[in-house]
Amino acid sequence: MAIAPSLLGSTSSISSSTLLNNQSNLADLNRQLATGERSTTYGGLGSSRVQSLSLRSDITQLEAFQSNIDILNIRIDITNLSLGRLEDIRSEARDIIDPNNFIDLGNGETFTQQAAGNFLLESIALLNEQADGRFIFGGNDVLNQPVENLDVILEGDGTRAGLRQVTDERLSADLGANGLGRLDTNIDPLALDTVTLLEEVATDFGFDIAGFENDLSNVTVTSIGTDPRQLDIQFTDQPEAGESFEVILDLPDGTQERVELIAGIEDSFNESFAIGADPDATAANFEAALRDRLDFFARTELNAASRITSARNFFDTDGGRIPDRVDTTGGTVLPENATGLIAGTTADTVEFYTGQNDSDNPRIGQQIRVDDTITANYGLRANEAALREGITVLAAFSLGEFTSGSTSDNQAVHASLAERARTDLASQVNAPSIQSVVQEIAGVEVIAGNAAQRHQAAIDTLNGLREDIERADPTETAVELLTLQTQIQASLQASSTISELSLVNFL
Amino acid sequence: MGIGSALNIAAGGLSVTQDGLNVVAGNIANSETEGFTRRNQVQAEVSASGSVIGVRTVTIERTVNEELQTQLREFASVNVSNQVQADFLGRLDVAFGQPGTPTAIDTGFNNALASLETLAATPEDLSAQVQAVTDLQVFAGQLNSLSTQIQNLRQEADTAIAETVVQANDAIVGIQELNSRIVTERGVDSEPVALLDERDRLLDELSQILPINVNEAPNGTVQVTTSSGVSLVQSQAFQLTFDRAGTVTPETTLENGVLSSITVQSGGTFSVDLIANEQLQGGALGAYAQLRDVTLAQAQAQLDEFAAQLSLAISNQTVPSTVITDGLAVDTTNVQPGNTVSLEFTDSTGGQQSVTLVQVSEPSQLPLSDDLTGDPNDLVFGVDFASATAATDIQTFLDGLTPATGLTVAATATSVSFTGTAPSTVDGLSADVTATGLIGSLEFPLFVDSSTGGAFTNAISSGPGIEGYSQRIQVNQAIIDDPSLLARFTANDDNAGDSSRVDQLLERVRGDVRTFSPSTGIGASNNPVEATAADFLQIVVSRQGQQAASIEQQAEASQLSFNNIQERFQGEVAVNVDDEIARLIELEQAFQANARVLQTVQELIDVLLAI
Repeated sequence: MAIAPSLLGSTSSISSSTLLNNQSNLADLNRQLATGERSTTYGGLGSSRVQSLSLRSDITQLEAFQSNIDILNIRIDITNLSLGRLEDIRSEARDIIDPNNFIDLGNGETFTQQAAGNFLLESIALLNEQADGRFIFGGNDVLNQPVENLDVILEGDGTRAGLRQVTDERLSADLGANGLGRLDTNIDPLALDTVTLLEEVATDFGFDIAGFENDLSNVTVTSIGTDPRQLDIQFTDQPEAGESFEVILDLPDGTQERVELIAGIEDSFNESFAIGADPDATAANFEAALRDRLDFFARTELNAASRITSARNFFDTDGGRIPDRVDTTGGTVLPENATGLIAGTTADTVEFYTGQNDSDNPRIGQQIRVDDTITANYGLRANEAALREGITVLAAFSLGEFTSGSTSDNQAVHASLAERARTDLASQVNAPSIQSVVQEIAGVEVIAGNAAQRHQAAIDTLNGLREDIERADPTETAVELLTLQTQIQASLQASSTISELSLVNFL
Repeated sequence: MGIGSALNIAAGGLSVTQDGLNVVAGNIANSETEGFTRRNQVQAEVSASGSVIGVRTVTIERTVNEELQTQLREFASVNVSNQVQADFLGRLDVAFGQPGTPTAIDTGFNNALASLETLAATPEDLSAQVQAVTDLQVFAGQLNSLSTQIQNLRQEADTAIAETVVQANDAIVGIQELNSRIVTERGVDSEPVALLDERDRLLDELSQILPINVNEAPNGTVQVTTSSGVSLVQSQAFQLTFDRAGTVTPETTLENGVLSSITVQSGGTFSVDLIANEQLQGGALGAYAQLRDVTLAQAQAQLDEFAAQLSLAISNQTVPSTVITDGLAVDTTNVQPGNTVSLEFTDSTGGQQSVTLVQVSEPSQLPLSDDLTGDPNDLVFGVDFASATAATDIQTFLDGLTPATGLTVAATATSVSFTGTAPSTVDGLSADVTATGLIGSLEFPLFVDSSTGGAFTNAISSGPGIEGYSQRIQVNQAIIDDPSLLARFTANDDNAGDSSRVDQLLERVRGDVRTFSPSTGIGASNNPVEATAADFLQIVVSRQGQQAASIEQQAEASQLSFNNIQERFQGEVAVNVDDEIARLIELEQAFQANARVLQTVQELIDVLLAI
């Protein structure tokens, strides 16, 4: 604004300033018509500028949520593919690992074992799958492969023990030095009519005597202690043929076995003992039969239970746990004499899962905000109970040894491990399962989908409001433009007429 | 009476008509000359012993309605002030950008937040990290540039003041000189019309520069004062003085004396500060001063406050207190200059009090004002927690309060504790500490002060503080070098998918309500603005837009009123060519009539001579 030399302007200055003003209004209307924008500044928007500002901010944020939901949907789709395949593997593996499906391939493996190994390999690959460039099953550790390679998991890497070594140690500890599952039997030389069945020491391993059922006449059973427990079975006289004695044993995987011995009758399962000449002889027969049965169960059922338990310990790293191993007191005790478990260290034991591993709910490991207040939690960890169950069983089964003994033994060992594997692979109700994880993720997708619909509706509405404020209505602008045009024409014409009316022109 | 006297009278009539023609010719010729007032020929009879012996031109006068002139000058003063402010604020409005385009400051901010929202979904993704860092840099750059534009406008206002002061001084001196010439050249019944016109022109000019009062003395001189009586022209001219600033920055203000005020040297050593005494309620000078010292300075302060609160929202963490016997203690190890320790307690009369202790390392900055924090209910005390006398200093401050606090302070180099026995109790204690490292906590210095390269802590010191922070705010160089630090707060990338840091950042910027200092001109000191950082930016943009629009409307209105009054004044004073032509015809007829008289007299004389 220049300072005028005088406030007494020339006559023409006033009308020309009005004309100039009209001209600049004309130019502004023209711009509005061309660009569709009511104003080029916030000042020009009028009192609605506050709404314009907050609408723009809201719209930008909603659009950000929308694009996040798109990303979320892509990731969940890929995640669902992986979970679906894991679920398929579970049921396919269960079909194949049939106790009766014993086919020795001649290369040290059975057909079922080879299939389990393949399924295991695929499962590990699936757990290392990426969605949108990030690992799905590692919680918030999305940049690093969450599950070790299968070879490392099974065989270790030189300094750290893999599952095979951990299982072998456990197997030794469970079977014990005498191969009877940490039990022993003997006959007191001073009381030859009494057979003693005892747990060697208090230990986490092998069989635990849970109880007995005695139908034998003239036999008294005395239980001494709890852990270790001892049963004294005294033949005060001869039992009747056909009568039986059962000892109930707890196995490390939580199953129970009943070892039955029948007096005097041969059966195809060798579950009998001969009635001797006198009670002492019968006791001696009973002890021999009992040892034989314990040896058989240790080789088969206990073997399978031990392998399953070992694998469970090995893969159970939930919440930052390190796998339990047989405590050999730093190598000073042989595994078969060990009495307890100890947590491994990161230096001596392979942790199959290397992703985020804390006590948080795995779902919050990956989050996307889909609304001001709603966060979609879709994190997954390979060591969640539901997801590790399959590889636990498959790994245990694939390490089984089904070709080292007699065919019948091999079949028995195979059957007992296969039975356990099938139980664990069964789809369980009310327990964490892949199905339930899929359900949870699907729930997230539904929530996000609802949010997306809401956002889209909101964006449309807000954009409408914003345009009402910021957009110049072409019809309105055109009408204003016409009016102004008429006005300018009229005033120009009037000016010209008035200027001609000067007296000067009539002299 | 002889025939000769008729000849003389007719000759006189011709001469007067001649004069009249000159006046009309002058009027018509100057009809487009600015500041030219219509001249009027005043003629009178010449008589002797009761009979007319001729006609004469008494004077050439001008007709000026002085009331209207005064009013016109008042309107002009207001109008110029509005026009100047509308011009400057219109440009500031443009600087805030076109709504919805990338130039708009809020678009930059919204884009940065949207990128962060995307980053929160994929915190480990390098391209998302780079995009977010880029958008944050763009936004910081927008703040810097906006702030620089505000300072350029202030600089321009300062320069304009300097130039306008020169113009004003020229006018003041000119008026004073004309005063003396007018006194000399004034006749008994004649006026030096041209000189009066010239003086009016200078007065017109001066009235647009600052509001003036004009009093005409009987001797024809005028005395000029400011609207409330500071003399500008008396028997001598009083000059305005002003020192133009080298460069205007946010830190240079009128208050701290770096920018000059406008003073009138009323002879000798006595001078009047026109800005401090509010003598500039209108006119160009008033507008420029208002812009430089208030309007634009507040716009800067608003941006600074936004930048500061944004930075602190992201970088500051609360250190909780620990319970000790009869009181609370808090760790002060990491307290940076400007960080605060908040104390809430019940005093000895049972009243609730709150005190904010501010870390100040330079004793020269003390004492602090209670208005330093936006919170209207707290007392503010500056102290150096690292000093050995910290406990004594705080104790002295507390003991000086009424009612008595009943609290006892203890401090070590790393902590401060407060204890009290009933009825005095320590109810709350916490420290608000700026995180300076990028690893370890969710809080991190995303933005730094480019003058130090370090985290912004809102320090009160002789060094850079909040003034001009929006001009210096920038994204931490370490984050530009390694964008993953935007999301990663651990030393390794084992939790790269963890978006906690970004989530917290967004929550703090968009969700956490903060108190904004009323010193920015937004909010009152007893009722400060409480908003999220994101909302405050909208408030600032909207306030600036509203200010520009409102001054624009005022300018339009004042222009209209000015035009109206100017038109009226012009109608009375300016040359109307039609009137002049009509007058010309009259004169022509008068001339013909006089000539006719002459001719008749000549014929009579011829007749006499022929006898």
